[in-house]
Amino acid sequence: MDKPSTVRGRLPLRRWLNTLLAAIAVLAATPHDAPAHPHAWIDVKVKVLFDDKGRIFALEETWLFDPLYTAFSLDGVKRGKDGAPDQQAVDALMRENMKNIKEYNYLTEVEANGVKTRISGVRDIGSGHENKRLRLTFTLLLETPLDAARAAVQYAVFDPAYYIEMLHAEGGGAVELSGAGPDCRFRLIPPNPSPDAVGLAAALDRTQSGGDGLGKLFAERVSIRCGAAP
Amino acid sequence: MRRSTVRHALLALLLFAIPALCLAQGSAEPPASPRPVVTAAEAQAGQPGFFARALAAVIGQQRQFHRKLAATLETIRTEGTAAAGWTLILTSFLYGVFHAAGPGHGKAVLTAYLATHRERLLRGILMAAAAAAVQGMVAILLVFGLTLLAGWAARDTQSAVRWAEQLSFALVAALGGYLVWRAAGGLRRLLTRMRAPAHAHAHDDCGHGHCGHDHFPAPGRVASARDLKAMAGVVLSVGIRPCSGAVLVLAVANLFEIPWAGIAAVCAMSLGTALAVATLALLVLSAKQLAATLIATDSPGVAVAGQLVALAGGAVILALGATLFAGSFGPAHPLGM
Repeated sequence: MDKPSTVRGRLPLRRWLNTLLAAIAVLAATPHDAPAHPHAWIDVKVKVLFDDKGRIFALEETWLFDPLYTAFSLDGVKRGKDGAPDQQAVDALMRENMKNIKEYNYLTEVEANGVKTRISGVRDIGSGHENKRLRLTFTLLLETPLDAARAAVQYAVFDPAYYIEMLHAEGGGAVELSGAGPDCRFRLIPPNPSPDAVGLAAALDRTQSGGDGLGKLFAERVSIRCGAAP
Repeated sequence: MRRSTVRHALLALLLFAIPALCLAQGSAEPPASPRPVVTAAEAQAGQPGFFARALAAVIGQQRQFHRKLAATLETIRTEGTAAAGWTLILTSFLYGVFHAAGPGHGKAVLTAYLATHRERLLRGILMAAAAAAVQGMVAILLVFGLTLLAGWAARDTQSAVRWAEQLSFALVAALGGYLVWRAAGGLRRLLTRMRAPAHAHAHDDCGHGHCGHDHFPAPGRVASARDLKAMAGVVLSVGIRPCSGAVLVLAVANLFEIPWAGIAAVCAMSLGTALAVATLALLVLSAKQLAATLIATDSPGVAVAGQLVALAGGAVILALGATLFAGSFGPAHPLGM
C-alpha cells in the first residue's frame, strides 16, 4: 500500500538531484576571480621614432601616474623643503617598476600586419614628479624597424590585468610621429570591447586568461600608415 | 502524475538556474577558439548576452567611480568642504554597490552555500551584510594597524592584502571541507536509519537537527551550533579579504591627513556591498523556497537528497577555495598594485 508513494517520491527526487547538480555545475563555472577593474590609471604619451629610411625603429613613451597611485607609492619617501619628493628615491622607485614590467614587454605591444614585433632594448629611462603625479619616460627599441608604407603598423599600451587603466593623454598631442615623412599619419582606435568578450575575460581566472586578460579588451590601439596604403 | 512531476522538476531547474546564471554572467561556455583581437566590426556583430552587457557596464561604472573617488579625496584635502564629504560618501556607496554587482569569489561562496544548505531568509541576508561589514573592518584595521601603529609605508600594505587574500582562500577551502564532512556524516546517519527495520518511518526522528519531515530547502527552526559554525565560516572566509579599492582609499586618506574621510568612505562602501550581496542572497533563497513549495513531497528520500546537495555544495566551495589558493601564488602586479 505504500508503493505508489514510493514511486512518486523517487521520481521527483532523481530529477530534483539532476536539477541541483546542474545548478551546482553552473555555480562552479562562476568567475573565480573578480575582474580587476582599474584601481589606478596612467596617462600615456607616445612619440613614434622614424629612422632616416622612414622606418619606425623605436617608441618613446611617457607615463603619468594618477595622484592616488603617486601618493600611495611615495609614502615614506624623503621630501625636500618644497615638499617635492627626493629625486633619487623617485628614480629608485621607477627603476624598480622598469625592472618589473620588463617581463611584461613594458606593457607595450607592437604589431606589423598582425605579427608581434620584439622589443630588443630600452634606453633613456627618466623619471620625475610633477603636479602630484609621478612621471616615467623610456624609449623602446624594436628588434626590426618597421616600414609603415608596406605593413599595417599598430601599437597598444595596456596592463593585461586591467588593474591600471592606460589611455593616451587627453587634449591631443598624445601621439607624435617624429621624423616621419609627410605622407605618414596615425589613427587612435578607442577601445570598443565586445561585451561578450568582456564577460568571457571576466569569467576566466588569472591563470586561465593566457596573459592577455581584460586589459587587452580595454586597450586603445594606434595604427600608423605611410604613403598610399589605406 | 508523471507529467506534473516533470513539470515541477523543470520549474525547479528554472528557479535554480536564475540565481546561478546571474553569477555565471552568461559566459559559462568558452568559445571554441580564442579570439586574439576584437575588432570594432566584431564588437558590433551579433547580439551580446544580457549579462555580458551588464558586466561590461558594471566594469565601466567601477572605473568611473574610482576616478571620482580620487578626485573627491583631493578636493576634501584642499578645500575640506562638507559637500565634498557627502560626495565622497555617496560615491563610495555606489562604488560598493557596483563592486558587489560584479563577479567575485565571495559571492560565489555565499551563493553556493545558500543554494545548497538550509538557511532562513533573514539569516542569509544577515550573512551577506556581516561579510560586507567584516570586509570593511578588516580594511580599516589593516591599514591603520600597519601604517599608523606599525609604521609601514602605504605601498607595503599591498603585500598584507595579498596575505589576507591567501588566508581567505585557505579558509574557503577549509569551510568547503567542513561542509563536505558534515554532510557526509548526516548522510551516513540517514542511510543507517533508513536501513534499520525498527525505524520504518525515519521522519519521526528529530534528534540530529534533521527531521524526516523537513524538505531540504525548508529553513531550520533554530540555528544549531553547527549551523552557526558554518555561517561564521562563510562570513569570515569571505570577509577577511579586504577590497583593494578600500585599502587604497584608506591609505591615501591617511596620507592626506583626513583619516575620517577614509573611514567614512569604507563604511559607505561596505553598506553598498552589503545591500547588493543581500539582494543576491534574497534572490537565491526565495528561488529555492519557491522550488521547495513546488516539490512538496514527503519522503525520507528528500532528506537524503538534501544531504547529497549539501555535500555537493561543500565540494564546490572546497574546489573553489583550493583553486583560488593555488592560483594566489602567482606574481604580484608589476607596478606594485
